Amino acid sequence: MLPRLRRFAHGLAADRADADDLTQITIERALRARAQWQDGTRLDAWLYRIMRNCWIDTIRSRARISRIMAPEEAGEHVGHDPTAQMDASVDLERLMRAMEQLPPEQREVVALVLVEGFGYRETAELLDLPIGTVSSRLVRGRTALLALVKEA
Amino acid sequence: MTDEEAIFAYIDGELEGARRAKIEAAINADPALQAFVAEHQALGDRLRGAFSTISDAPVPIVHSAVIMPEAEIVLLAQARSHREQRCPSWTMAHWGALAATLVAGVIGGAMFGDDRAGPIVEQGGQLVAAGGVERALNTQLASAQDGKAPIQIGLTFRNYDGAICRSFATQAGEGVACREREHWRLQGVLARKRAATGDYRMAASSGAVELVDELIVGEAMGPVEERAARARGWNP
Repeated sequence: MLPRLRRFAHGLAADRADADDLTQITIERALRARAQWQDGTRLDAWLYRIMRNCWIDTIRSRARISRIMAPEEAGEHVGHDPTAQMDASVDLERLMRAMEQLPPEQREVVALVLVEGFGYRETAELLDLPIGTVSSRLVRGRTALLALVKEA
Repeated sequence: MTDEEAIFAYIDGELEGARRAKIEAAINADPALQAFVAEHQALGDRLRGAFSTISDAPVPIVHSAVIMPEAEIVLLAQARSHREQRCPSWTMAHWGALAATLVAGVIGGAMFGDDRAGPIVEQGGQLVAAGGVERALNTQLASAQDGKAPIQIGLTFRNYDGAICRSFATQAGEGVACREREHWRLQGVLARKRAATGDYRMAASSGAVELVDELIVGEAMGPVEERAARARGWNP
């Protein structure tokens, strides 16, 4: 479960350090709240939901900070790799930067469906959304993501 | 569902029957649509490939949270100073055990309670198999077991320390235990999932399988090796 949780963190967070922080915070919160997990329900979905809530908390507090700081130029680094080296780990950095440009509500459905392999219904339950909303966010998210990675 | 949503649902394996056939026919009839589908399938493959470098990598030490007996939790800040002295390098086996500890800690109350006579008991701060589970682990061969037996043995394999481990399943749950001296020490136990999740597209991955993946070194034992291991009393 831990490796999968970590992967989801990398799908949500802006960079690897943030992703590892997010994983740590999630585990601590899950352990503290473990009495709330109900036997017979999916442990993975429960942990993913906690992680997603932690992440939302983080971006909210970041948003307060970024209002008083100059924003970084959007898309500046996406996809530039002169050697065209497609090493999976290098590619991960690139994809994470592209994912970061997506609005959070699109990023999370892309991470859950395309990376984590959840079905639409499972994703809808996990995020407490109607399935149609998941579906339409997926369209916008992956369309934008494809455009971002093709820009290079 | 818009046409575009339907095409993506098709790519994601969400469509079945007539709806699937209809979209498939539309794609086959339109080269532009084929290119669109191929491009998005490639994006999905690329995402999964890149992100698998995370899920395949060992989990770094920073994620550890130590669970103490009596389900007391020591969080990172408190645990760090001790750990840095004690554990200069952690192997995957440690991580496997820790991941299992996390899961066992979360569901522990539901599975074990205070019933010391159950199939899993606490002994010297460790969870070990007892009763029927212990009996099955000691005697049952996966290759020659009664398919109706209440406890089924899955795989028998060696972990990083060379100890013999076996996965098992009961009606209530499944788990993995490794032989330590005279006991089968539990590496993790998971309560069985409710059948109500039957409408999920993707079968939920089995926790015990993940745990075996984390612990196993080399291949699982075949019938001959398994029999020989039993003859040695499961000693390495």
